[in-house]
Amino acid sequence: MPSDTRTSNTATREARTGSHPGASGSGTHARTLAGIQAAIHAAPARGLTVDFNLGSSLDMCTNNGGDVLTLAGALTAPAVTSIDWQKQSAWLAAGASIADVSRELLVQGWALATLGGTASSTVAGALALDARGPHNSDDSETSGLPRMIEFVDGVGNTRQFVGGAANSPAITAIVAGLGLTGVCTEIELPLRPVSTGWMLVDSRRCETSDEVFAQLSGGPTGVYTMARIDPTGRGTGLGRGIAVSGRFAKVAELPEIRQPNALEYVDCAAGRNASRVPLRVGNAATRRALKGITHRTAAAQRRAELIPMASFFHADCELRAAGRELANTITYEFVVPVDQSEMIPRFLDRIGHLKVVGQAATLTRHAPRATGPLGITTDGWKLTIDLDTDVPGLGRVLDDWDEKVAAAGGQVSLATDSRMRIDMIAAMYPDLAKWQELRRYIDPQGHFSSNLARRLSL
Amino acid sequence: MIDGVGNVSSVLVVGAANPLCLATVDRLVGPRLSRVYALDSNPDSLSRGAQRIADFGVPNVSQLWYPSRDPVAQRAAVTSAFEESDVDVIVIGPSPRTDAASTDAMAIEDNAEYLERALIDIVNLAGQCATSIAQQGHGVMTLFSHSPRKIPANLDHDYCAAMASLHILAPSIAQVTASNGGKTICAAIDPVRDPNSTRDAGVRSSAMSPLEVASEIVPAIVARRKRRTFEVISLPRSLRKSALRIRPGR
Repeated sequence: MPSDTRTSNTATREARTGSHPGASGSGTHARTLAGIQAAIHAAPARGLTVDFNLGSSLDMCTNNGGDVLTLAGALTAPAVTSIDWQKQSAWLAAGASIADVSRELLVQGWALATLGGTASSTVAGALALDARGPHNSDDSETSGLPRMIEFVDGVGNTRQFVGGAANSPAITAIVAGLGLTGVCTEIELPLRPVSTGWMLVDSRRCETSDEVFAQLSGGPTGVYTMARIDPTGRGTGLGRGIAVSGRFAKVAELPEIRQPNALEYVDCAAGRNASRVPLRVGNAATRRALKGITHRTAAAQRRAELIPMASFFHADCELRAAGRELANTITYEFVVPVDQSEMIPRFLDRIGHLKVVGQAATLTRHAPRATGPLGITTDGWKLTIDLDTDVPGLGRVLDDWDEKVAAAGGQVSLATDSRMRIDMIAAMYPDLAKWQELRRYIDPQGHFSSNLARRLSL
Repeated sequence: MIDGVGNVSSVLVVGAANPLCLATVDRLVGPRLSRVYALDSNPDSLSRGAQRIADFGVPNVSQLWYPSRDPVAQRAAVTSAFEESDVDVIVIGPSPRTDAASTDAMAIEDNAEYLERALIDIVNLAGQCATSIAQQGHGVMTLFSHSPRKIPANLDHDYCAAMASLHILAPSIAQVTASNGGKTICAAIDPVRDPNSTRDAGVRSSAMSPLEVASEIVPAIVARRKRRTFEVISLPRSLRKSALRIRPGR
């Protein structure tokens, strides 16, 4: 842990105010624990939000008129403080990016037990979003969850919470807490041993949604599964897509030329590449036609394709993040119960009639896992899709769909939300009052705030 | 704040008697619009405007009267709206002369008094609103103004002067709003096409309707693209459309 023995003057200098790109609020950098405390004490009336390096397009990470706290210095490097080989866990700097953490862990033959979200987001950000990547049938209810968390609360006190089990304080307070319950400084996360940083990926083109669901339902153990859905499918092709399953490759499975660098971390270039090509080519009809061609020209089946782990776990999220930044799309993510799988093609049909072009749509099996009161607990199917916003009537359709999801016992994700109605939250998140009570206890003066918190009166 | 799909939750209207402002609020009404603050210096115009806004289907309409020629009280009126909740959109337009003023010789306002009300007060309020948007960190300021043209004799010159001065001041106001996340949209209407420019029925037949003006600017208000912090929309957009409107027999 960084030393907490600095004087208040140093701490004030530490919480250095600077300009922050975009309109997400003015920026403050904290390099030490004392810097965080100074930033909390100096928080303006419109509050303070933590920069999780998720871009300025998510309401959760922006705080118009308020302050945005960026962790720097000792709070980001070294990314991995220590590794406990017996417990298979590591203490990580909360401000370090997932990419930096993965790079350092991989050299020693480890990977985070749960990988999801964007590679550039911070470890604390991935927890605040409760970001999960492709589904792994091996995962238990507590796999991937923090074992211990150290964070600074709204009063400026350092707290240490134990996690690892469902309903443990660390999970309730921080996981899916949307960054409103404190500033994480260090996190102990579980690891899994790996022999290479590459995934052996099988993919199969599915022409119906039933085929996609069947591909995602089964699967051998230790395999991560997801499907990239083609939102332009119509009729029987509604919900068609490419089902992908992957597992960590063994050294012997790599080509000889790659074997010496088997544990090298290869960055995910999806977001960077997306910024080089125009995301809004032509009109909606052209974009739909291009999407359809992409699906139809994909190979019917690919086996044992080697893909860097970063690309496998983060590429879709990186694409969505790039879309939000560059093309002003919104991300809509919802989970419906397992027995309501027909709602997924129905949703795609609905937005198809509206002539909305969906981007980077992915479908995963969402297994129940311990999470915070604002996390998704539904055991079901999760659809994540980017939607163009310049379509009249989209707001009403999504409002209507929120109601249908809530009535079916599903949940719309708050982490990526940019438009939900206030009254829907109580219907989807029954533990909201419990979370608000916890928030009042941790942050009695309400120092932590964000656009999302203000819009939804959290 | 304006949400991801362009829903507005609160609006502040400066010039509650201006049909252009009212038409803009009408077009902004949606499922999330829960509060509108109406500001005017004329109590009658204020209550009439507030009633119209309530008729559009807005559940909460607050009337905020401000005294003319009193910058301190005007600042307090604007600040009180911002203190209550975040304001997403501000619509500013000088109120045209009242119907009574144009017909009743006893009620004709003194030109200087009208100019003070339409020009000085509005400019002061626009500056105050821009400052409040900058403090809030988000919001869209919408200004109604006139594109610089030679004014025909049959138009209300005082009203046109107020509108032209807003056009000149718009870039400065935009600089203030843009200093911290705000956006400014300036509707520059051709004076001859502005429905408020005159009470002369013959001239008004060629004017754009308030809803027509609102329909042109509302998409820019709720647009998600924030790269441009200042946008001037010249109206009417198309000369052809405008010519069709005034062609005899249509």
